Amino acid sequence: MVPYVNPAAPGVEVPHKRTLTPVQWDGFPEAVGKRYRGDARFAQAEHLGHEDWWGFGAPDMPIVDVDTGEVVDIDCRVRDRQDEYLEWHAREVDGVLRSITFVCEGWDYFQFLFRQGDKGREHVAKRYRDCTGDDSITPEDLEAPATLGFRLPNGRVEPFVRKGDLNPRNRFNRENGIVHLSHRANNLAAEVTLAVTSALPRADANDQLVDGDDAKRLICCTLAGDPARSSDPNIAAGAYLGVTDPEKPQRFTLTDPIGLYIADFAYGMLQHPDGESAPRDYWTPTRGKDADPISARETSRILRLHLEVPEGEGVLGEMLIDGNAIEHPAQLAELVRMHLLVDTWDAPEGVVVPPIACRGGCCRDTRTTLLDSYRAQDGPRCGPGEVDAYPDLLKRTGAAAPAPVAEAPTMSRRRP
Amino acid sequence: MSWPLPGEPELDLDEIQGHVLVGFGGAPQALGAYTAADPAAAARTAGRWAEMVTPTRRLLPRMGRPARDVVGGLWSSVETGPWVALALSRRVLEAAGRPVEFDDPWFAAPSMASAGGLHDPRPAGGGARGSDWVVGRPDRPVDVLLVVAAGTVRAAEEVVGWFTGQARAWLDGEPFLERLLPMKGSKEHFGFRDGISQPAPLGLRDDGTLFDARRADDDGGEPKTTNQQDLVWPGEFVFGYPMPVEGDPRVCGLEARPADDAAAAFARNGSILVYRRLAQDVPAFRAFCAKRAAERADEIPGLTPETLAELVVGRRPDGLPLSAPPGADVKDPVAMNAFDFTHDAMDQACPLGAHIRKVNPRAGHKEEQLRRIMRRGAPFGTAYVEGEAAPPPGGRGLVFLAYMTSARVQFGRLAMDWMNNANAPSGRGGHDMLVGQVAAGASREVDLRRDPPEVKIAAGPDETWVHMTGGAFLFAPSIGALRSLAGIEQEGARAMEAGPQPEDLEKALKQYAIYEHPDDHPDGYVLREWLILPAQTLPGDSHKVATLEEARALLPAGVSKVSEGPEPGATNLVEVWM
Repeated sequence: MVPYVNPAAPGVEVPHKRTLTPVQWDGFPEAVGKRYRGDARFAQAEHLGHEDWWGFGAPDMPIVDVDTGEVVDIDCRVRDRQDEYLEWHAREVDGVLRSITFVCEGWDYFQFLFRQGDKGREHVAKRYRDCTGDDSITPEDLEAPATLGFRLPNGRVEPFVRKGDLNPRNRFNRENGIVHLSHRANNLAAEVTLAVTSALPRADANDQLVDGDDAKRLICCTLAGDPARSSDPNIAAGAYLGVTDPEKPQRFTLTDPIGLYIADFAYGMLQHPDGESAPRDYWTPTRGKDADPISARETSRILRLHLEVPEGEGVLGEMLIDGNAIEHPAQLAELVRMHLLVDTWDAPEGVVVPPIACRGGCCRDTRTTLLDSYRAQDGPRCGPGEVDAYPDLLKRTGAAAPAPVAEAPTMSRRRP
Repeated sequence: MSWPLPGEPELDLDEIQGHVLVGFGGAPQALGAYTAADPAAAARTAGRWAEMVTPTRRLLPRMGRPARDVVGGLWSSVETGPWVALALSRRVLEAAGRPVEFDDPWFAAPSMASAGGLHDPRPAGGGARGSDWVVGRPDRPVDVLLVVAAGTVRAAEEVVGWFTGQARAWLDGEPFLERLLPMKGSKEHFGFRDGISQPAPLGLRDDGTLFDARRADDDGGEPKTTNQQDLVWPGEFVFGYPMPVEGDPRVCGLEARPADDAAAAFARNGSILVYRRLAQDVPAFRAFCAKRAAERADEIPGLTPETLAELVVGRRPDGLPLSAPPGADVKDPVAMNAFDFTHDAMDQACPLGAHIRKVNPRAGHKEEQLRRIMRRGAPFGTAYVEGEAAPPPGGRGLVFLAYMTSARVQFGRLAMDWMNNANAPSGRGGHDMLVGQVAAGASREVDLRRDPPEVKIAAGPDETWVHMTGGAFLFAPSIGALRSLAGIEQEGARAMEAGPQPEDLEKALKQYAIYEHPDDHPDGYVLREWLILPAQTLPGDSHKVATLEEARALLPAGVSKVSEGPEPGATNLVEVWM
C-alpha cells in the first residue's frame, strides 16, 4: 500500500478527506537568488536560453531535426531560470514597465490539449491569441515542424519535442506575452512524481527513518525533484511528513484539479510614489480561482495573474515596492507565493509502509551552497569545490542498494 | 568530534557592537531616537561618539551573569556601564558619503511605514500609514537611535541626556526618549516570560576560545550552548561572517555581505537593526481570552482565560513550554528550551499558530530554513494593575529590537510571511494571534486543536491588543565604521592606545554610586566615583563610611540622585548620583 493514492483508480474509496495547503514557496527562483547577490538576481532571473536542459551556464545548443540531423533555424530559448513553477512576462512601452503577467500552468497540459485533434489545436491557438493579443496565431505556428532536438558538443542529439506536437519552447510564449510555463521542469508530471515518490518512507545508511524536517536532505534521498529549487524540496517534505507521522499516518492525493497555483501576492507592498499602498484590485487573476488570501487560502487556485495600474492612476514602472523603485520586473516576482493542495485522510489501521533505501544523495557547492543530486548507483561524484552534503544517506559498503521503486525522472542540473 | 566546527571564524570583539552579540540583558535601559535636520552633521557627531559605543569585548565579563548586577558596578572584575548601542539611518550614512547598498529593500525604504507587507494599520481617523506613530513617522524618520543601559533607568536616562546635549546642533525637533523598564521574571506585559529561545553566535574569541559556552562534548548534532540555545553561524547577525547552510547547522556557509564591494567593506562587523515600538493593550487581550474561553469551554474541557492565553503564546507564563511535564523546573534549560514539535504533529500540546511555534517551528516541516534574528527588546511602561484607571503616560508595551543581516529576508520572513500568514510556515494552523497582523478589515483565526474535533477561534478586525506605534530600519555600524564618520580612525586608535589624558578626565561624565555592605566594606557603605569616558569607564575615588548619610555628605555639589533607592536585583546598590 503506497501512501499516495490515485482516487480515480477502480475500487479506491476515499473516506472523509481534508483539503490542505501543506506547503508554500516563493515564486522567485531560489537558485538565482543564491547565485547572484544583490539586485543582479533580478536581471539574471529573466535569462533566456537552454539552461533548463543543460544546467546553469550552459551555452545554447544547436537545434536539429532529429530525423535528418540538419540544423533547424528556430529559436527555442525559454525562461530557463524561472523554475519555481512560476514564470512571467513584462510589457514595457517606451522603456517604462506597464504590466506584468504571471502564469503557473504546466506546458504539458497545453501539449496534451494540442494532441486532442483539430479542436484541441484550435483551442490552444485561441488561448495564445487571447493571451498575446496576436490574432494571427494559428496551430501551425505553435507545432513543432519536425522532431526537434539539441545537438550536444559530442554529437549526440537529445530530442525535446515530437513533430506535430505543441512546441512548448515556441517564440509566441516568449516574445509577445505568456500563455503557459516553458521551463523544462515546470510541468505537472514533475508534481505528480514528487508527490508519489515523496510519499514513501525512506531509510538512511544507518537504517534510520529519514525525517522530513530537512526538506533538502529528504529530496537528496528521494531524488524526487531538484534540490536547488525552493518548490520541489518543500512539496516533497510536506507530503512525506504527512505520511510518515507514526502517530497519525495519512493517505493523500493531489487535490482535483491537480495543479500548482499562485497562493497569494503581497499586494500591500506595492505602493504609489507617494507611499500609499496600491489596492488589491490592481492585481487581476485572469484564470483560475481567486480567493480572499487571508481567510481561505486553501481555496486560492490562481493560474494566471495580471498586474497593471489602471488608466489615470499611474504607471506600474513608477510604483514602489516597500518604498523602493521598481527597476526590474523580476522584483515583482518576489511578491508572489505559490502553493499546491492535497487531500488527506487517515490511513487504514494496521497498514504499515516499510521504509526503503534512499535513491541518491547530493553534492553541495561550497561557494554558492547550491545542491546537486547524484544517483546511488553512481556514488558521490562531487566536483572541485563540492562536498558530499549528506554522507549518511547511502550505505558505502559496495554498491548501494537500489531502491525498489520505478525509476522516476529527476531534474538534476548536472550536465550530461 | 570536538569544537570548534570547521570554519568557525574569529569574531572581532573590538569592532562588533556589544549590544549585537551579547546584549544588555535585563539591565535598566533608556532609548533615544533622534531626527536630524542636518544628516551629515549627525553622521559626524555619531562618529565622535564611536568610542562611547560599547564593543563586544567590554561585555564579555557579563556573559552568564545577571546584567543589572554587572552594569551597576557590583562586580569588581567587570568594567561598569553605561553600555551604549548606536544605530543610524540610511540617509545619515548616505549624507556622510558611505556606500549603503546592503541589498535589503527594507533598509533602503524611506520609512518603516513603507513596508506595506507588515500590515501595520493606518490611523483610525484616516491618513497615511505611520502618520500617527509616536516615533519614526515618515515625516520624522529616526536617524540616530541610542540604547543605553546603566545601573538604574534614571542613570541611563542621564546618559541619553548627555548625548542629546551634543546632538542639539543638528536635531530636528525634540528627540523621542523612552525608559525601558525590566519586568520581574523577564516578562512582557501580557505576563509571559520573554526571550527564552534566543540563539547564540558560533565563533571564537581572539584567544582561540569559544565565544559562547557550549556543550562540553560535540555529539555531532545541532550545536547548542550549555543553556540549550541554538548556536548559529554569525553571518545571520553580523556582516562579514559565514551564514548557515540550509539543512545542516554545522556547515559553514557563505559570508554575509552586500554584493557591492564598497558596501561590503563598510558593512563588515555591522548589523541591520529592526526597531519597532509595539504598544500592548493588556485589558483587551485579557478580555478576548475571557470571552473566547467562556464561549468554547464546552469544546475544550478545562479551557480558561489563562489556558487560552497560553495556547496563543505557546508557553506558560513562567516560560515552560506547553508540553513540559508536571514538576518541570523553570531553571532547567533542558525543560525550557530542549524541546521540539516532532511529537506534536497534531497540535495536541501546542497549536501550530501559537506565537512560539510560528516564529520558531523547531523540528518539523517548515517552508524553508528558519532565519534567526538576535532579539534585544525590552518592555516600556509600568506593569498593568488590575482595575487601573488609565494606562501610564506613553502607554506600555515592548520595544522590539533585533539584529540581523537582512531585515526583509529575516525579520520579513518571520513577520510578513509567517506571523501574518494563516498557512505558514507549516501549511496550516492560522495566524499568530499574539502579534500577527492582517490587512485592514480582515479577521484573524487560529486552530486551537486540529484533531479531534477541530476547534478554531477568531478575532475580529477590532479585536487587537498589539498596536504598532513607531519604528525604523537602521544600521548598527562597527566601531571602526562609526569612527570613520568623523574622520578620526587614526586619532581614535591613538587615543585608545595612549589611555585617558588629564583633559579627558576633566570632561568625563561622573557617576557616583553608594553601596551598602559591599564585599570590600561589609560593615558600612562605600561611595564610588565612576568616570565615564570615550572607550572606557574608569574607577575614580572611593570612600568607605559607616552610614548612608556620611556617604551622601561626600557627594560633590550639583549632582542629583538618579535612582530612587534599592531596586530589585541590584542587591547592594543603594543610590546613584550624577
